[in-house]
Amino acid sequence: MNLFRRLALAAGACLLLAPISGCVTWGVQPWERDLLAKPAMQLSGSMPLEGAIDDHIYFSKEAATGGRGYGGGGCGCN
Amino acid sequence: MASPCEVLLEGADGHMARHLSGLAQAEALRIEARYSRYRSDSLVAQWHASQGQPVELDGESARLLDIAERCHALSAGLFDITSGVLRAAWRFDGSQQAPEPAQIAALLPRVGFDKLRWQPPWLSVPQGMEVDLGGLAKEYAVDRTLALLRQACACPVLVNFGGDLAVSGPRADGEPWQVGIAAASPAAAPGVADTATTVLALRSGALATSGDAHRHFTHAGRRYSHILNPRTGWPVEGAPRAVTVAAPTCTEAGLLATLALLQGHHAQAWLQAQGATHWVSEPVTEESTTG
Amino acid sequence: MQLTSGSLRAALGSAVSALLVPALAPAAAQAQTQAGPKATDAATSPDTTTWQAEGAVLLYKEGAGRVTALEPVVSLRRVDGNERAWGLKLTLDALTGASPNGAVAQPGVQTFTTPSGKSTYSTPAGRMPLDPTFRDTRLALAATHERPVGAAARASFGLGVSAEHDFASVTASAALAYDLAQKNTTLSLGVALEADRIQPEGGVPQGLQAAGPARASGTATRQVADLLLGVTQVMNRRWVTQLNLGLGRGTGHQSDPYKVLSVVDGTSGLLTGDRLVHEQRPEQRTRVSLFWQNKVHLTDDVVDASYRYYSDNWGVRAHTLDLRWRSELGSGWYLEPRVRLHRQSAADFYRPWLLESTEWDSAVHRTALTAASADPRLAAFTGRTLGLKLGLPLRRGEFAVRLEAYRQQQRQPAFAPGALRGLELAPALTAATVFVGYVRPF
Repeated sequence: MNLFRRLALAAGACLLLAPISGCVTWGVQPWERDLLAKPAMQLSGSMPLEGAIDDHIYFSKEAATGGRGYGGGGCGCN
Repeated sequence: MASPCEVLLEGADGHMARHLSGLAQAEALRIEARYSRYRSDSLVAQWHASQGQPVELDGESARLLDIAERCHALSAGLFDITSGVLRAAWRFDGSQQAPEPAQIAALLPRVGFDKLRWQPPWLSVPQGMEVDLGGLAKEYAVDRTLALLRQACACPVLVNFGGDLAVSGPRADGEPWQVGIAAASPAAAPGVADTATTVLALRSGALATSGDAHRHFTHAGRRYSHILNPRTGWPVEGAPRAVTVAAPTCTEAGLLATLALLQGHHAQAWLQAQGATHWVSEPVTEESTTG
Repeated sequence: MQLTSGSLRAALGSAVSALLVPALAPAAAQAQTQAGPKATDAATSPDTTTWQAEGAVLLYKEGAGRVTALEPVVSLRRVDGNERAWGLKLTLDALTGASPNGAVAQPGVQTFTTPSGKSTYSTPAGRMPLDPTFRDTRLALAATHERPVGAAARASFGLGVSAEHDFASVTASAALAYDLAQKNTTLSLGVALEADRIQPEGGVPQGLQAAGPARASGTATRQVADLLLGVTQVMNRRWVTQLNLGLGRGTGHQSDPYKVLSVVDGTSGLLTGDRLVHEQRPEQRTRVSLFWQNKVHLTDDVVDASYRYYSDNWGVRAHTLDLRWRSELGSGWYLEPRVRLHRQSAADFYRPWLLESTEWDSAVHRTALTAASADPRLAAFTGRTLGLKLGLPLRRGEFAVRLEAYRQQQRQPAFAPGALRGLELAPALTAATVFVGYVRPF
């Protein structure tokens, strides 16, 4: 678990720092955003309510929570 | 047009797309050939070469002169298509060199729409004066091209000539066209991409942007746009860096944007008073000085 | 300006119409009737406000007579020409069925009193005790607002309330997203605060006390504060990735007022002494989560792969992997299979039962433990989800149906004493869900 966590953090740090340091150039020009603009490519999906409902199901059945963000309104299910 | 021109269509096949882009290109080149001040074979060049003699204008040119006259009246003389000669005194390349007052004084007599004799369809351009339709031609080309494409095809289309654009209507599924307006950031140097973009949803009508982008002049610590005040010969001071206006037609949007910039410090207030949908970037907050 | 505002625009509009009329010529009549007032009414501006309505219904049904839930949700969102958005969401959550009460199975029939004390229920021999009076309806309302801040940032605010008969919650959140590098990189920072009020049937029991009629007080409160730091990066034209770090801290009453633990004899495994004891969880919970999501656009299909690592001070460590493959079938139809794998470790204080004399002393009705809970949610288990979603194109918007099967498998507790060894102490939880969703912009 400890190693796993370290690796995940290291990967995250690389992703975060690389574009700022300029050693890797990622990204697209504004006119290359055709695919990224599609609803299916949105991080919350083409149906944001689906993600919210999913989060609620797993919040009430599992001990782990969070990740994407936080919804509005808790419930008494955990 | 001196800027990238594109046409976006939805639902057309390759054959239709080629046909429509051919129509658009032909129309853009036609208007450029007739009204470009950079071409020695344009209609405008012929008017200049007439040495003050009356020239009979065709229907399209007459209508362009009519609207230029109307805007001259509506703007109390600030919008003036004869102010082009002042270019000789100003180099809008970001340099610090201000022209000598004598230089401006020598050019001012050659500026003034009232000095033209416009009695439709006859136009007399006095020797030494110039007519510059640059502030109208691009937006007019967008509207004309859109009209031609609408006649040729019922598909949703967006015509964009260097940031001045118009749409035929919403997209196929009723969705608006997503248009990004780039706002120039203060530190941006010519050639460096802008960082901030506002995205707006356009279902109908047109957008036109008037701004100083890379053509500006800095003097005594103040930044002037490339819009010249025809009465003083100096650039308008205190105008925002760029103004984007939405209106039913591109020509109207472009005229509103230009008229707004001519108001200098009051550009945004003027646009608000007109009830025009607009976006202003980097409104200048410095104090104005007279003269 | 010499003319008044309305008249200047009207004058300009009619001047432009005169300029463009020949261009519009044959189409002029058509365009002007289509465009209607727009071509001649210079005061009309292009319409730049968009709306989006979304509705969804979830039907959730667990196996073995456990929880059934029906959850309809509707939301409305409006974005104006200046990129300011307003959203409203209404959620209804109707739950019925039976839920584990924390007690352990026994070789004989068990009888329990409901939390309200008004009735009793029995559990058949050898079965995991479930409280069948589990019934609740929850209503939640959430409002959100987003607006641009300066040239490159966006702020969002949220406010929500949720109420059910024994629980009420208020949440407030604020977040700032900052764009860099032509919006290829977005840094975000968010804060969320939640305040809950618990008013259980039969009052709030004192934790780690023998279950009985005596109650401490009627209400308890709980507060949660969350911090979220995120970075979203567009990698290339087909790939966008997001990394979020979440920190949360919960204080106040964390225990479940309806859950108990069984006190069993260390040799026979049968109920003994005080028999049932109320659970107690620590009054403070600090959690950390690291979430990584990727969306990749293949030739036509879109793949969504995410991983979350979770860790809290209760000893729970969890890994969650979620994979979706949206396969375009053509003409806007799509099929999206989904696999979700979740593995978590048990909380430090999780105990499937309490052993008499070592973990609970019935003579003095006390324990040396500071916290104990038999809630299956806090146990070590693996949860597997398999789902399939079908999307239908509409003239405007999208409609989708999703079927999923969830199975939560706990390992049989080791060292079960006596009679418990032969019983199924950790039956798998299975659930089937049907989700129907509809998105419509207008």
